[in-house]
Amino acid sequence: MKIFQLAAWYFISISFVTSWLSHANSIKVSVVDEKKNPVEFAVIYIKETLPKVSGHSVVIDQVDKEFIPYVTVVQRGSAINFPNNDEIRHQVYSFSKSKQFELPLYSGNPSSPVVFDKNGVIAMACNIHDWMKAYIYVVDTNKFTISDKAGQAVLSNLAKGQYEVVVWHPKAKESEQLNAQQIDIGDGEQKLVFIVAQKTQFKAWRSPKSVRRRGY
Amino acid sequence: MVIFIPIQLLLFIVIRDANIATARANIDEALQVTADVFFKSLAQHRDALLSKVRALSTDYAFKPVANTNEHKTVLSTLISYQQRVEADVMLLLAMEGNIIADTSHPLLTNEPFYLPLLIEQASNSEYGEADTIAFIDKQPYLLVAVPLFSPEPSHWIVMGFLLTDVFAQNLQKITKSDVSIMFGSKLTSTGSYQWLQLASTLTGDIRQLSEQALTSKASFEQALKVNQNFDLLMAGQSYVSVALPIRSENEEYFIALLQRSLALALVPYEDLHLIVAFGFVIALILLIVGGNFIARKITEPVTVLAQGAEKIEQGHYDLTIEVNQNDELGQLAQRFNAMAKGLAERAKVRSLLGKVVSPAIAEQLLNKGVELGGEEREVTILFSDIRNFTSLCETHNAKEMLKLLNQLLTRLSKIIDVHHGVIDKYIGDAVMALFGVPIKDDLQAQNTVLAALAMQQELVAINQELIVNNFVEIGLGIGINTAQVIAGNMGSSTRLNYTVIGDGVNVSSRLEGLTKYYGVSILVSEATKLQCKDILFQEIDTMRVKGKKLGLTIYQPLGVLSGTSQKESEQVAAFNQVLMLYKKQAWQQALALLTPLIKQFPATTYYQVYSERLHAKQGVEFDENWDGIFTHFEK
Repeated sequence: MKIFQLAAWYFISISFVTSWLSHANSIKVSVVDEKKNPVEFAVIYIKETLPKVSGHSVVIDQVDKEFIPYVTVVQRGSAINFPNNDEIRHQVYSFSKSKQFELPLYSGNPSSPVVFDKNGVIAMACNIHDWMKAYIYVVDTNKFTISDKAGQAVLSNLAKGQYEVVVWHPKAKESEQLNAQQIDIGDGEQKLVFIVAQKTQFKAWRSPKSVRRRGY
Repeated sequence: MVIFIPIQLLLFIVIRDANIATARANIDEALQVTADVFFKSLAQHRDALLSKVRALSTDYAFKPVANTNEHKTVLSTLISYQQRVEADVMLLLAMEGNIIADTSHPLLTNEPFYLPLLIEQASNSEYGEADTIAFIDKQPYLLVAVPLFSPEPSHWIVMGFLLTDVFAQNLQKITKSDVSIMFGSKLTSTGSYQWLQLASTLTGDIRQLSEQALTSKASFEQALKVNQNFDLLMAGQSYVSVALPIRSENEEYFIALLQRSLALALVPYEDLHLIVAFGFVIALILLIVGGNFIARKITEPVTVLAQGAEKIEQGHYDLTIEVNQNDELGQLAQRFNAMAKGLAERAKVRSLLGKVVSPAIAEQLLNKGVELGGEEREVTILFSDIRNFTSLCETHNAKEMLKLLNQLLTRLSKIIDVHHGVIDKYIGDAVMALFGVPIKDDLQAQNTVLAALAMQQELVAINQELIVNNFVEIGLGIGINTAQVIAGNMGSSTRLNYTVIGDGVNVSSRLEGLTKYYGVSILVSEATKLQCKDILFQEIDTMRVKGKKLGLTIYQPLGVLSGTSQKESEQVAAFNQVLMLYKKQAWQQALALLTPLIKQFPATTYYQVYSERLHAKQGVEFDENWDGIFTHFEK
């Protein structure tokens, strides 16, 4: 117990100092589409190759037949829990190359979390509710963030140096290499603007809102 | 009758045309309905297919299967599912278009899909879905493509429904129209379309004929573009057709050919045609029978009557019409015959009237009607009498005499006619003629004298003929007087005569009688002579007519002045000298002048008369009471 508390204090104090020291070194990223509309749910990260982590745990909730959050970014080796907060069962699955998994019909907390140990996009969904869809993006870095509704995101606590900032989005037209920018980080805040062209997607005619009325 | 047949035929044609037009309108409507039903049916089939594929694309048992991308596993799953949903073909394609499994080609895998357009179309669509009609191994399919979401679009699921006769037959069950699915492709060699029948409700011989019929229909492509009805002749039967383009691409057409037999549509009207035709025949028979009856009972009698009327118009009254009918026409014929008879009698009367009375009088009688009574008119009366006729009679029989008399009277009457005189009557061989009645004639006196002279002239010719025929010569005495008389129809109400009465008539008759006495051919009263012009007269005597105080001077006309000679005028003047002396009672001197005249003209009878009178007066004293008027005592 003591050891744990000590360790905690140690980490808190260390992280406080480092954050105070490097607070000035940050990148403010703005993501827009071709029409200059803000793009939400864009994953912004620094390209680097950190070894995979273990023990990291993230949660993707299922609330009112929706995955929350819609986009999740984790460092390789992280585990994700998929607690079901609805009164009905869900069946979560992914056929993505980076991670194929299936959580057969369940309610409450699954017995074990799913570990993501391969970089890439995982498109996951519920087999019962066609509109329930979420994305997990697995990266080899711990420097990542997700744009908000205003398309804004901040990468902070960056040491001085040269970085490659990459943006990924589920509806991005271009591959992620094309959405990368090189940047020199010095003192203070840098600003980056990413224009992410959106690809046209087939309408999710299966979502309850868009189901065409087809009576007999 | 002649007009009946064209009218009936016209009626028949009009009804037929109307029926055909109605049938066509019905067909048009039915084809329109069929077209709607066809497209609805096609859409329903497509939607059913889509539903089935969509169900599969959300089937969470299928997703892991698809994502194995194993040919055999996927194929057997597809076959299983195909049977479940009664589809005819199913494929799973990778997103980029390569075939993973194809139930119609079980061995085919990892090859590009043979209908890339379908996928291209789906990729570009809003929902990632597309449908088409296309051939797979020369079989026509209705195909749909839907993406498989797992959850991102990872595959294409293609499902197909074979367009068979059953599909067409189901449509026919609802619409009662024939349905054929046709495929047309442009032949590069000729540039025209060749048509292939894929499915059809047509049966028997005509089933394959739609291909030929369409291919040979030059204007078909045009008709297809404007979606217009057209007639397609198949096995001699007219089919009203409409072509619905289902899909057209690269000069290839999938069409639905909807057809309805015109003959079949006209079947309900056949009965009507039959009734009309039957009615036509019945009417025709009635018409022929009735027409015959009418011809026999009406037309023929009317024709006979018309011919009769024509004959009567031409003056042939002696006809009888034979119409042996007891109807109105029979009665009309009888009346007609009676009328003809009446006309014949009237014509006879008119003809006789012309013979009995002079034409002018006959005309007046006929036109003005006959009424008794008369009017006072100035008339010149001519009396003529044939001398020596009785001596002629002695040598010849009565019949011959009558014939001769009639000839003579005819010739003389003609002269009277020519001079506007009318024959009043014949009294044996004597003729009484009137001038100036009934038609007024200002030259009546002159005309009468000229007629008399002409009659005397004619007599010369008659005598020559008589001598040639061994007859005795005849003479003609004519007396003429002009006087006021009563002219009009006289007699009883049943029998009357147009004539004149008055003293003047008697004078005229008397003068005729006196011609013999004076030995002259014509004697004219002073009243007549005064109205004459340019005629040379010889005064003969002044005489007293019985019962009259005043004397009447009488003259002999010698001829028209221009036609008489100087010698004649001198003779007249010489005798006038004698007469003057006679009237002065200078007997000696008168006789002295007369004697040489007698020597010169011994045949002149009245010279002798005066010679006797003068000889008798020789030595008679002058008597102042003597008026020089000679009184004839004998009639």
